[in-house]
Amino acid sequence: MIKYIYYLLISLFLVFIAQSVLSPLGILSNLNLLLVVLVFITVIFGFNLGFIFAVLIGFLANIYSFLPLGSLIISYLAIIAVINFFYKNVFINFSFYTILILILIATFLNFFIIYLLNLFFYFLGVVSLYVIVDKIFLLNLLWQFLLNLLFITILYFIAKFTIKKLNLAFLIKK
Amino acid sequence: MDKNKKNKLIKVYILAVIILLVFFYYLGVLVKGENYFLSSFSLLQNKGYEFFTKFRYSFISYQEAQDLKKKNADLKHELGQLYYENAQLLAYKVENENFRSMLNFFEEKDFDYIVAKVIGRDLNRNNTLIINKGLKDGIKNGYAAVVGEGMIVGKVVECKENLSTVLLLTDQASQLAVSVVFSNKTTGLARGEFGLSIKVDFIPQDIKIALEDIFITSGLEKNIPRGLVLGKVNRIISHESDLFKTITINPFINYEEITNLSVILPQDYSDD
Repeated sequence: MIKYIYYLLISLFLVFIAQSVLSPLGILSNLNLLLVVLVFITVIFGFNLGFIFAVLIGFLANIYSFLPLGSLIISYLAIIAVINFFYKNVFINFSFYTILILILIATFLNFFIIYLLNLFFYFLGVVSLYVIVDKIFLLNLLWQFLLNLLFITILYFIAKFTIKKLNLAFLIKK
Repeated sequence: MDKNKKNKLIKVYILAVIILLVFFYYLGVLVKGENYFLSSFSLLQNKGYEFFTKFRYSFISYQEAQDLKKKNADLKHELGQLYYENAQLLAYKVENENFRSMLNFFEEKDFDYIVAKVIGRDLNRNNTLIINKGLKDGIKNGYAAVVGEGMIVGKVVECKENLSTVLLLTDQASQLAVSVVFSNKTTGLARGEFGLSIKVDFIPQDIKIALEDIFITSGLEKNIPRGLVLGKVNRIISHESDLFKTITINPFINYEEITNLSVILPQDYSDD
């Protein structure tokens, strides 16, 4: 039970960092911290833990989002399910480059799902804002790809050198 | 096998709890809990947001400091001119009030306002600010968000019980009826341009506009009073063959530095 409280506190901290710390920092606001952490947890620590964090982070982040409650939970669960599928069935020789590809897939999926959900709720009249895909949006998306890759690299290196039992590698089979 | 069963059970349990929470949220049962969570968390968020906004702008290079000195000197000169213009306008105001009382016009409504703190931005949308006031404070969609003494920065687009989302004027989805300061008619429609500036379209060719002219809200929109300042003209796009001209406005303030703002509440908001 206590570990679930730890997970909740970690999720709260992550949402606080994403919402209030990164958002005023210009280019850094394009880093999708929640998504990167979710993918990292799913790939390194397993789908079960990724599931729990997807639900907790999705719920907390959705409180501040203009999308109806539940949208981000569904989005994150769908993303980690796809990532887990790719990880278990496609990229079976796990390496550092696998995780880079997975974060690219996750970033693209996140954009796609949020965009579709936004359009869906906009046409239903539930939300009054819709995401406009213009030059600036695409530029920010590109920055998101780059920053997500960079941040997951940092996380991977930190995990590799601090948690030896994970036995993380660059190219050889895990 | 047991472990798999246990994991499945935990997942089903967590999903069931979340579905119940979402259900209770829409029934309004969780409102008190949400209020408590947001009121205790939003202060920390605002402090974090303020700190990192100031942190970002604390590294000013020498050249920027020199530019700022020059700009400061220019602004002081402009302020002097504005004081003079203000005095002139006050005189016209007094004259106008006399005319109104003579003709028995209805008085303009006074607008109240509520101060709100910025606690972050929407993670899935740029050019927005999330503030710590919402429906319970009287805020509704379409209300104007201002800073300082009446510089409009955006409109409220989403309202929850304790939070609101303000869409900045620089966003492409933002639209506002505006007029140039010397005209009492709606001059054009202001829309955001790439999150950086504001463009005003559909300005008739016969309206004379010059660089540095100030644009204000026209009062055409129901909950947004006339006279809120947007910014100054910095570019005019006009061709003789076009029916309308387009201008670009530079806001007076940097929207990236906003950490507090006010939302204007129309006097009869309770009747909406």
